[in-house]
Amino acid sequence: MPSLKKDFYALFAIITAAGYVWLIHNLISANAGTGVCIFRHISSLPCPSCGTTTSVTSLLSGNFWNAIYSNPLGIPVAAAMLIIPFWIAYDLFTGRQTLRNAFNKCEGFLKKPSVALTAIILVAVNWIWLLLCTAGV
Amino acid sequence: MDDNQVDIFLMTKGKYFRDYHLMEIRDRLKAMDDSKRGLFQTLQFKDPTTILIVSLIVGYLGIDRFMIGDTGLGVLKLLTCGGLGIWAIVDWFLIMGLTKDKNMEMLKPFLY
Repeated sequence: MPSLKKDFYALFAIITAAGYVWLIHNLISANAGTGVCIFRHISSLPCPSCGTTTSVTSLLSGNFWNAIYSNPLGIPVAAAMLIIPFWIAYDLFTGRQTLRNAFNKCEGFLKKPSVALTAIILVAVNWIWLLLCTAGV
Repeated sequence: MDDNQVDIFLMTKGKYFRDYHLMEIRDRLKAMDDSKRGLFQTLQFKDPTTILIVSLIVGYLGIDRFMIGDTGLGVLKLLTCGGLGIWAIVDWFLIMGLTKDKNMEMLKPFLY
């Protein structure tokens, strides 16, 4: 595997491992819910991805609606955290680069103006929803 | 391209590239075919300083990565809140170099 490909897999492995460490920390620690979001600490308002950890922990306890309420982005994140370790292992053992190829395809798809605009609108709507929830509306 | 045009290009756009690429750019531009000049002049390079400022302010949302064209990594950075803040801080130090690399990638088809 060329070094750039190795870097890609290393980055994905590190991000996924960090995600699991963060999730376990939140599940067992007394300081659960302590955020690391700089935006939230500065402005006391949630950023577009605030609530993702709560959403994933809610999914783990089977509370689907609470997961949606905390942050709908938690669902794709939980799915990615579940799939990616197996995908990395599959590519590692078979020597193929299916994850890398899928990532490049997704990136190409997201770069299409219509898709990018839709994604931006969805993230913005999600953020407004989070801000309204925080404001108690 | 003649020497004057190449020198003007390097004076005005040199900051958009890594120092060790400048000699290569200079040599290649001098040898560049005039038929490529029209398209070459329409190239819009990304300013590393602007991207650094964006990275410092909203880097944890992945906006800096979106701006340099790393859409996939931008989405990852957004979903992980800047990699729990760590990736965002690491990018403060890397993003200028990455931007210069992206500018070089943009220029390469005209050089070779």
